[in-house]
Amino acid sequence: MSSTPVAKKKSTGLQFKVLYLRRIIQAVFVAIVAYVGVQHFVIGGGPTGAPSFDAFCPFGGVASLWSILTTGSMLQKTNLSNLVLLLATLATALVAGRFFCGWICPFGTVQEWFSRSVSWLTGKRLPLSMPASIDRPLRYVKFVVLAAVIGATIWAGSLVFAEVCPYRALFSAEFTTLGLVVFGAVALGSLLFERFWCKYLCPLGAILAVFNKVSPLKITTDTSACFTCDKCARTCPMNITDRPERIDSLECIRCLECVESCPKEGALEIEMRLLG
Amino acid sequence: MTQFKSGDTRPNGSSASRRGICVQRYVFPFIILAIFVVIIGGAMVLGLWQTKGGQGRGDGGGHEDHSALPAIEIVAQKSSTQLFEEVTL
Repeated sequence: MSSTPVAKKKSTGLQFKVLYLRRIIQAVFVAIVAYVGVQHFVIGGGPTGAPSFDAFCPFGGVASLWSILTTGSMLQKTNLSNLVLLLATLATALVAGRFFCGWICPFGTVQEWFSRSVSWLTGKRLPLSMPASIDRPLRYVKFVVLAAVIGATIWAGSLVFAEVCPYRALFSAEFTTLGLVVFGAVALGSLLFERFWCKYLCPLGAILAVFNKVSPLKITTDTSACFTCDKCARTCPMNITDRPERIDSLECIRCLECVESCPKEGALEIEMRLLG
Repeated sequence: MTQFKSGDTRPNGSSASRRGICVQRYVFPFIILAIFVVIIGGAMVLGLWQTKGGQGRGDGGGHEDHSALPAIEIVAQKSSTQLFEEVTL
């Protein structure tokens, strides 16, 4: 707690622009991916048709890269675009950790829309908070999913995860029974808990999470300015409650919801520090 | 971007214990998105952005072109039933 007078943020229109900006950028990426899925569904594939949704998945690049390293060849149904997308995603992660999850990933956006629609319909902040005793171990499940997916991909020599991927089920319009079941479960989870898939199950999120520890761009807390109102913790879609001087949690998606919600000017900021 | 050092006093009066470069929240997403877009754009320019055909094992380019094959090989690819049907028709 600080006894210094609170320097409140000026409530200008600019204050809300980063949140709006994020919503707009997210919607643009959703529109692009939805267009790819619909175009492929309507026109069809093949040499003269539209590219498949699979060609626009960075995780396809992960599976294929692993296959190249271990067997010397790419996986079936993957393209160079998967590797390019993976490279672009890893480059953003190297600089700003899980920025991709918070600003680009269309499936993360859809989950946020689910949660917000529930709040809007019920008039309550409905997405629930998982009890810490369950939440903490569940956060590690995504690393198990990642290991299982890579292991199964190498064993089968194909994109086995594509069959169960809820993101693919939603955007590719190529529905498998298993894919729809997983999507239904994740959609239900997202209605109850914010970013359910991202927090507990996403294998790409598990890879990007590691970069949160090394990326130079992090959200930092000015401990002398913070008066621990916990508003940041309440607005965090990933339910990060710890506010160390430098937030390097594996879960931070750099969405800036905390920075925007903070009533104290300068208490939370984005800081670039190459060392430490 | 503004450089703040430990012990600096911020313009709003709050004391700062920051040691790095503060990045404006309005600038931050554009820096990272630029990295993302430049890599994809660069790949497109270099011709590495290939979204069709499938370069993986067993994809086979998605189509077969028989036009360049000599007639004897096309015959060899056909079953005896197909050949019989073609001759009788």
